[in-house]
Amino acid sequence: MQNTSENENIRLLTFNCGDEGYAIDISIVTNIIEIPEITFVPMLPDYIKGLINLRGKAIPVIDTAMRFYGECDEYDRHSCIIVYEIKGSSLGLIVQSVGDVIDVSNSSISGTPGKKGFVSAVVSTGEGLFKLIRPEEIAED
Amino acid sequence: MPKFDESLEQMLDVYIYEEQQLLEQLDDILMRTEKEDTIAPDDVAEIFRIMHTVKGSSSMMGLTNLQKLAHAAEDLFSIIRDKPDIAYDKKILFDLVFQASDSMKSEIDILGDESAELTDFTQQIAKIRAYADVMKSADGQQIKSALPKEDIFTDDEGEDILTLKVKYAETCAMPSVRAMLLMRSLGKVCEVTKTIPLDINADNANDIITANGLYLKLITDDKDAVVNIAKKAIDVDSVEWVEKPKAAPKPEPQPEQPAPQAAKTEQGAAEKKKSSPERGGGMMSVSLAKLDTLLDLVGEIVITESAVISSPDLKPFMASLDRFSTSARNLKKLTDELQDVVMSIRMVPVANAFSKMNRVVRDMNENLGKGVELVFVGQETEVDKSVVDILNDPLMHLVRNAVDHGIEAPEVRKQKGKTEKPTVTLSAENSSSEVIITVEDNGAGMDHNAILAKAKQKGILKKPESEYTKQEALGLIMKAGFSTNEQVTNYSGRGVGMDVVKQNLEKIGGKLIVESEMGVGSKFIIKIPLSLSINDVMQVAVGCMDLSVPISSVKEIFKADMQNIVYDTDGTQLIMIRGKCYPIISLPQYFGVESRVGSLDEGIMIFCEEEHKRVCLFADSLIGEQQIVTKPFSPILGQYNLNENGLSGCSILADGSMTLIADVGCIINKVFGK
Repeated sequence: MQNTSENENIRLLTFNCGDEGYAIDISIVTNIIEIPEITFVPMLPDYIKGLINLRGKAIPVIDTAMRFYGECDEYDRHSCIIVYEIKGSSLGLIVQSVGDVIDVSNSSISGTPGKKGFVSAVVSTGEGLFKLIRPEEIAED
Repeated sequence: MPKFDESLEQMLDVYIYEEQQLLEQLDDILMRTEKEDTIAPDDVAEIFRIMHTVKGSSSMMGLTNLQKLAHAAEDLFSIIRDKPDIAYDKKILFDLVFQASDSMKSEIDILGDESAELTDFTQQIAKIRAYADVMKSADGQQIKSALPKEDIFTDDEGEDILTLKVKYAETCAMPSVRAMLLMRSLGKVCEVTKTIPLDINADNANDIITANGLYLKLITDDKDAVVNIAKKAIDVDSVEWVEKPKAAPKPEPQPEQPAPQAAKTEQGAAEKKKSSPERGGGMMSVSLAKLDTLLDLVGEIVITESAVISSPDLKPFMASLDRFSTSARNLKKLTDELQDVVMSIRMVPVANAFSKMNRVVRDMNENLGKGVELVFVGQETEVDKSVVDILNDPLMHLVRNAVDHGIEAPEVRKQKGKTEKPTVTLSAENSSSEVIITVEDNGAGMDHNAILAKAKQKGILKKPESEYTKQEALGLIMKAGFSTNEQVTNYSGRGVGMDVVKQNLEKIGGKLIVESEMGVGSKFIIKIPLSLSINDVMQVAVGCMDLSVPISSVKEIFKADMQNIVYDTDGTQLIMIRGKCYPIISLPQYFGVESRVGSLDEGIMIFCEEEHKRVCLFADSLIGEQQIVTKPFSPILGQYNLNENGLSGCSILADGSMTLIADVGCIINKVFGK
């Protein structure tokens, strides 16, 4: 459950994409996996790389860099897929690398950069700034 | 707050199932009798019985609100049953009972939800009671049930027979049911030879037990245990031993004959059970979840079987595998048969889903006065149970829409000179791998220009207005936030509906198609896969795609010869097969991927037929034949309309890899139009 009161802490998972720090609410994250074989699906926007088989479920995966910046990241052994659940369906995000799990208080989360867009707020921590993503926006065309 | 005792929770599923069956049965009877305009004594008795059972089981579950409502309805029909010629207004009666049945249904639907409070039916009960009084006073008679007195002690009673008096709390609604339960639990420590009142199943037993208490004649070695059990029983107020007055002359000891009495109560219980949902001999009901697991398992077995038999590890030994091959063939035969049997278990006629619509139309006729007739065609068509369940909601929406929006008001129909009866037709048919369900009305039809204008106003157009074909314009009504009726009515026009219907159908790989002719009527066609299960497919490579074409659409596969390929004037490629010319659809081109072969004769041709249209699909290479379980695409991909563009879903193969499933009919329509 997300708590919005001032002093409550929320827990975020940080990740890198295009050499920038991002964060996602960890309560919706279900898996972090290595990049498996991705099955190509035609007729989709190019940031949707296709489907992966996660324990018998076919889950669409999105190239986060492609989605945010319109260009692919180089994938290496640090790259992985963050699987999260949105409206009852799973979705995978291919990211450059996964960072840490951080606890932040609501007071260190500031503002809404834009009403729309992938980033809902900026979180400042001792380790730097992380952009908190809107997980539901990423799936919407 | 939990609504039930913990001990009752496990009975909840059974209770809900039984109640639903009973109420559906009740609806059927009511619908029929209302149509026939008479309630035959048999029907009255049946309705009475249903209400009685609902009352009994609800009180057993401690659901006093439902129990009281059922009780009121039961009383109403007991008046009619006892006095068949009593005067009553059928319409009021039907409305009351329909309402009661609806309230019960919705209450049962939310039983599992602990956050929902029990609904208070006091007003409804008062209404029913009030009408019962009207009926009674009209008859000028009060029906009174006198409580017959029974002697507690008889002369011929044995010495060792003890008498236990159990008094129930006044709030206890159905002491006779409690008594039955009590006797069952007492059975462990004593033998109950007789009860007073004698027949605790009798109609007046409740009143007697409440007034006088329940007397149990029993034989036991452990008096304390009996008292303890009795005291622990639900709603029991007091328990005491009653001494036989000594004055009575001692009769001869009588040989013990507890059996008949005990048997009688047992039999009573059995009868009660039997009278709940009526089932034919040798039938049993199984939870759908178990069937689902079974079906899943069989699906896995079939796939694993083919993985084992066609394992690449076996290739080097193929020549010496005669006995293995024979066994493998036998195994395949058996698994195929197993699969067929499991599938057939789950098949039910669509009539189950259709008949529910009777009620919907009846209620709407009542309110809208359109006098719509509901016609069924092909209701015996069998489909998978899960399909029927999924059909309920879409059908409800479509039928409501048809009656509410589709069919014109009677005056309008008259004005237009429409003489035929306003009709909504529900039909079902099987077509190769699909079930086609249509909801057709002979109403006003839809004006695609009006729809376009409306869509424009709502801002849901995605391209210039003039570029929409009629079919596309009609399709707009299935977009979110669209409703053509200016006025919101009770039944439709809340702006949700068609888009939800479409989404729900797509979730299971179905389609919804709209056809409409101004002034003639509209037709909604639902196409759903026959069952959500295993298909035979031909797996092919198309560029970087792994595509599977259902074998049901494939006629043959061959390599093309360049000299058979001709070009039409507009550049379409055609191929000659046995003297006839068929168009070629290049799958790499269609899906926008790069082909791995240079020319048509290097790849393969898949000759397909779908809906009487024949084409050749061109693919890079053949991978093989597979059995697959089709999975619909994730709802996240729903916005990209893959289903409308020729991909019906995906499937995970035995080795963990995935394949996409082509919808040949859709591809043909997409390329060549309808």
